[in-house]
Amino acid sequence: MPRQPAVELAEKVRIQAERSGAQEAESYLESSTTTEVRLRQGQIELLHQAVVQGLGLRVFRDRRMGFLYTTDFRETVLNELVNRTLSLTNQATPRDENKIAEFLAVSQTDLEVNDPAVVQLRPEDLVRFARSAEESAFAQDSRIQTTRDVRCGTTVVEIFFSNTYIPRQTYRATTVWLSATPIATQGGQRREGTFTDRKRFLGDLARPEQIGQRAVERALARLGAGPVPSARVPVIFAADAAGVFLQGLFPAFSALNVIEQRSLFAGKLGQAVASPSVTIVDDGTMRRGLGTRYFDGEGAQTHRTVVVDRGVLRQYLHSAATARRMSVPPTGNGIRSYDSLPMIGPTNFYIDAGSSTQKLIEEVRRGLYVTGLAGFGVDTVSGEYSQEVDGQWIEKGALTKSVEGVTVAGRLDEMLLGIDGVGSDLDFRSNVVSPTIRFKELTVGGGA
Amino acid sequence: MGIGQELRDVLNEETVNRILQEALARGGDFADVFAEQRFRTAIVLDAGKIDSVTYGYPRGAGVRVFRRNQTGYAFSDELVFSSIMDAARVASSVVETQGRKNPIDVTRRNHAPPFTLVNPEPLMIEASKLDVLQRMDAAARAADPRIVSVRIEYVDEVRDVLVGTSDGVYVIDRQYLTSVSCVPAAQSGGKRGSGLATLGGRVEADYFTRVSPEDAARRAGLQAARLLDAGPAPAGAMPVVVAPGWGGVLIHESLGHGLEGDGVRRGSSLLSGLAGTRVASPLLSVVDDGRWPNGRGSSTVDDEGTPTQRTVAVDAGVLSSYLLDKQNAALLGLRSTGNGRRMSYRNWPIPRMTNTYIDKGTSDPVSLLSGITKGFYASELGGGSVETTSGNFNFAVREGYWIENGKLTRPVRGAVLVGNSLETMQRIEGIGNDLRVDTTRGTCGKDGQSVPVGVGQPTVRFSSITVGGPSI
Repeated sequence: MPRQPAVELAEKVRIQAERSGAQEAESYLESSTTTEVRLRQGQIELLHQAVVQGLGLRVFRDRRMGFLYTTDFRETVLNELVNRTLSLTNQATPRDENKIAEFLAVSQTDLEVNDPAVVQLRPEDLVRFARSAEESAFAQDSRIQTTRDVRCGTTVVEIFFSNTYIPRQTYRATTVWLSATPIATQGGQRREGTFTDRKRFLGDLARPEQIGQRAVERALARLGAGPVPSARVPVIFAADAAGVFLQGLFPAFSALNVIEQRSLFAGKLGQAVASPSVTIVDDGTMRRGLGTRYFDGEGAQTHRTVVVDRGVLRQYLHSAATARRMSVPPTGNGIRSYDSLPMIGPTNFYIDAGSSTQKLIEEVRRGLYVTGLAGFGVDTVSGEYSQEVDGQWIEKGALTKSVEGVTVAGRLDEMLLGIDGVGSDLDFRSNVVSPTIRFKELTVGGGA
Repeated sequence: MGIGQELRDVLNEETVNRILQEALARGGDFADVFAEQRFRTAIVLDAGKIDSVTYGYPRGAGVRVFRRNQTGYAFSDELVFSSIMDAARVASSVVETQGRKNPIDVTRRNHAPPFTLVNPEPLMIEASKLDVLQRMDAAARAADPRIVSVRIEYVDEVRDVLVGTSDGVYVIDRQYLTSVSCVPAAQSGGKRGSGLATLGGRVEADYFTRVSPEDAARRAGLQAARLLDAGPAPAGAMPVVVAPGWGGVLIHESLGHGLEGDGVRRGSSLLSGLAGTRVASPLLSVVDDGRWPNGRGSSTVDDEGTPTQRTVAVDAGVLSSYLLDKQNAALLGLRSTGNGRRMSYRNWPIPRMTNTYIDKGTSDPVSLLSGITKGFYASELGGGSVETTSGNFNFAVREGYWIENGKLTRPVRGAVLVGNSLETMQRIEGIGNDLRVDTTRGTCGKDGQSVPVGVGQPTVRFSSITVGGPSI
């Protein structure tokens, strides 16, 4: 799939950088094809094809690091960029941790990230999936007259990695997604609902009819919503909302933030940071995982890391540099694209499944069931949490009226220790996911 | 070398005509080709050390074809005629009608820039950039003994764009942009807080001698330290006063996105069909100005080659104009307002804000606090978001104060504020005469595309907004 000369050029440029004064160099070539169609009211609104090829080159000299990225593969341009970058590198501060990986033992197991069936899909197939999702949405309820759109797409990405010590490594990964956003109308009120499924393998993708149906349920549930008075009550985050919350919490587990005192978990290793019902895992080796890869963006093998084990903080997540600074093995979390330096990021990051989901609601006398979170809210430096939410009010263990225009807030340390229930509904439709979770008590900020 | 010469070497008027002819070979109302070349420099200083230095050089070209509401888009990372022709063929496949015969003939246009930069900042030598960062680091640390870390990121770029369109436009433009962010973290007795200062915009190289980077860094350091001592924010609906400048993120989220032509045309925006009607307090006027001096959202032309303009979107409470790109303008029977923007050549243009602000009012800002017995003052905002279908929006406050009996009293930590666009805009009770437009930090994300924007406002008072703190 990549223009073959590009792969050769990427190698050549790296070797040339080494000859021009880089003691170590690393090349990361990303080549991908993305196709997406967007359908609205039966008509194709967008057909988009993206064929991307970019190179990122890191150079090291006397423990100083420089980086360049480009999509221009003309040899003269590459040479000029290498020389400029090497000279800019002299301005950087030497740091002991500026050192590239010396070997890589790539997993011999098939991690199942490449599905030939996804590669075979043509735009007509994507249109067909989107059409049946939209038609099923319209068929559900007369209050669904339109959609914002229905999107179906695929990406096939190929990564080529090599450095001064590690010969060329490569893998290919596929992704397919289908997402519907119907709009429900009642009186003058319009509310949308989105349901997205995303998978590595076509055979794992939910049926289009199911996706349309689930999206409609979400849109309808929001009709007639309004605020509730402010209160301190138990708050349940439904699985999708809990996944978004977990995504916001991720920076607290980054070893760089811990070292630089920018994380509420700094100095908490070995301590209880959550209730015993909470286990948090980052697993870059999970079969068919959306965050699965054979090696990370700087040539470190991926791992399964238990970050929080039954409430106790066991590990931070590392890039090669932070692992070296803290004298621990790397965790394979140096995540990047060709145009960015490796940054500590999640692979497949999730709260492990608990026992029962339905029970979590039934046990609540009066509280809030949150299905949607919007905007920013998690401050992993100060540990404050405050976010716009919508969902349903719980009375005597049952969902009653729809709620919107309210906030939930708390202190993250108290919130996590106060999780008193974890559901069984863990579903990997993203690379950061959670089952339904229940917080013992949060502040709901409501209307007057 | 002339501006955009490398782009022009591949895409002159004649080759652009051929590409657009190919793009419309299967029919369609409109086609354009957009080529771009950026040179970007990034420097990160963390823990007092220059952590990394980056040069980025992405370039490529994309072709779009649309027929009514249908769009085809494809691009090439290779700036080569044959690859761009391939992109034109892929983009044209969205259209399934008769071929078009009319020949295309683009003509070079020169439009007046909104302001002229004599010696733009990205051209400053690397050593001076490093010096600015080191000075900011020292100043932030000196602000308070409880500062434990400082991270500073510097990015500048020179972006050359070339747009050729089937309605005859051929323009070339060069855009400069610089941004610096400084994030000090303070720690004391198990409490942590972070501050933020940003600098930059589309500015001259002597910018850093006219603003004091040390002052900005020191303010961020003091903010981080102040947040250690701040109490919890309140919860519930109450009178809210929002500080001028970056506080304009409020209008960007609450009304701005709803004014964008795509949601309006689809009927999914809550402002669809409301042109000419009252949508807000008569005190409120909202302006989107693609020519604001040094604004992050400013340029000579938008990414469809339309000259930028100053658009009064809300005039004394009445919705007077949507923010439009060419396609949605055509579908609505209107003209583009120069708001067709894209993140890069890999993306098709969509209607976006440029520099959006609440126009200045007549009140003395201090007087806006009077009469409030208990309320919330949002002194420093973070980011926000909106769902344009419902109009429900939120914006984060990084730092606030209690208002008690008409005066600012205790500092409080951040919280999110939420509301519904139309309800909240009716609740404006007063607008100050102290308009400020921020040119240093706005980046807006929509549909997977991030673009630089400016936001602004004077001090604004609302009778009631829901504050999302933990304290009841």
